[in-house]
Amino acid sequence: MDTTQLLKGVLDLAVLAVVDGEDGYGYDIVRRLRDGGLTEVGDASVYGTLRRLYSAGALTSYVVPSESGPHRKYYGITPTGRSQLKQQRDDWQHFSTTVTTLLEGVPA
Amino acid sequence: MTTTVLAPEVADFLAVVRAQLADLDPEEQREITDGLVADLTDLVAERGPEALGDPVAYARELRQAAGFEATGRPRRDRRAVGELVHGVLDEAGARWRRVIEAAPGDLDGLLTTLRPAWWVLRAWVAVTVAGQVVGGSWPPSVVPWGVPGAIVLGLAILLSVQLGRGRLWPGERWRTAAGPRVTLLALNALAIVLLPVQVGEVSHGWQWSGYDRGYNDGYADRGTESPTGGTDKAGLYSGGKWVTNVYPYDAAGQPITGVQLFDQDGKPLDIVAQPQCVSSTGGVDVIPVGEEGIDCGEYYDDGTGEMLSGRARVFYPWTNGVTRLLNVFPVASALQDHPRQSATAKPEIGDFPLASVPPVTPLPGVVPSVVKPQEAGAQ
Repeated sequence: MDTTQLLKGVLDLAVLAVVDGEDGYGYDIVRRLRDGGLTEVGDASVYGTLRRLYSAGALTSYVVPSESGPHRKYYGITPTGRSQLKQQRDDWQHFSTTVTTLLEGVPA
Repeated sequence: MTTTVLAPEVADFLAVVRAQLADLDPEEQREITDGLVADLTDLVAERGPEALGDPVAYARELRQAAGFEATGRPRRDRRAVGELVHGVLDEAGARWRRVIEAAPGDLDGLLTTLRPAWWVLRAWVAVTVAGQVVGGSWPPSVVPWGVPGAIVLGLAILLSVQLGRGRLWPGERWRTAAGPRVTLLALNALAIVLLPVQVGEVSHGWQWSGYDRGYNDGYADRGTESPTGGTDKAGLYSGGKWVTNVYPYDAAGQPITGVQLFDQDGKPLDIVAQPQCVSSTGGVDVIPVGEEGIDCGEYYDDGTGEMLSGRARVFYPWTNGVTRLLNVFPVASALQDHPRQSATAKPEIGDFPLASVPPVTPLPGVVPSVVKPQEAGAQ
């Protein structure tokens, strides 16, 4: 099964959850998502998602100069993002429970 | 800002990604690609350049995830071209910086320190070029047009320095607008090319005025010698000596006046009828003073050391009513206080050096000219 299609639906949620845990910059967030098990996630998808969430006001961003390399753009969650995260988390739990229940009724 | 070198793979990759997003607003583009430098640099540092993958697919994924419409035709081709230019320049810049940073002796720091000097220098190049193009500044000098030129130069330096500091134009816009960036680059390149040319022109200008002085000195140094040593060989010479006048005698040995002489090609045998300073003794030591006229009182006779009389012998050639004839002899002359003044005394042929000379023996078959009695009598 193509998990990338599934991923698309929940990427916003996953990104918000990761950033809610701790502010991070693009590549750092990608790494945390992968470490969390979403190994298929594409860098560009994450960056694009961050950008979209930022536009929507769910994330805030700030630049941190780096001594060793180019400056990094950090993202943090906003109250809007936090309520969005809560809403989507509930939706997801409801949705996944429904699908799980559905699957359990089907003989293997 | 950091001065860290961008890895060339990252720069290339980023250039393509930017080009792919060229249809977006500059603001949106910056938002979407900002921070990407750090992210891509981290990626390459961790997993190598191969991890970058296909920039076109990357850009597509980026724009889809960001919620922008899929790649269509760029809204404006001009912008796409601009991004392409940026990409090429970014890449070239990254290569250049790699070379500079690899050089020993902190060349990077040295060049940064020297930037203000370049700002001043390029302003000078611009003003000197303007001086020659607009005119009014010849021979080329370090500061054209004197005092006003110095003011123009000062303003140009101020302009150049403010440009260099990015305070004037185009400011930070050069990062998004390719036009100003290319313009600045081209102007700087032009200044670099013209710098040696201008330095050459200016030092040549010095040689120019030096040459003028040297020429005049050399001219004056010819002194009382006949100007046989000069490069100007105009006039008549006999035995290497300059001939200032010719006194003809007929076959019978009698002086004749008004003889026209031509050479084998039918060209007139012209003497140089220029004024000459004469010695106080009235002798033949002369200084040719040329057409411009020189104060004869400034000169001393090289041989005797005595000061020349300050008077000039000015020649008054014959004419045919239309033009001066320099090949008719003897030439009349007058002594004057100044070579350029009109004659105070009536020009005269003066005494022939010899009252008469022995008659020539006619060659067989060659009949000498005979001056007709009535014309001879008229003289």
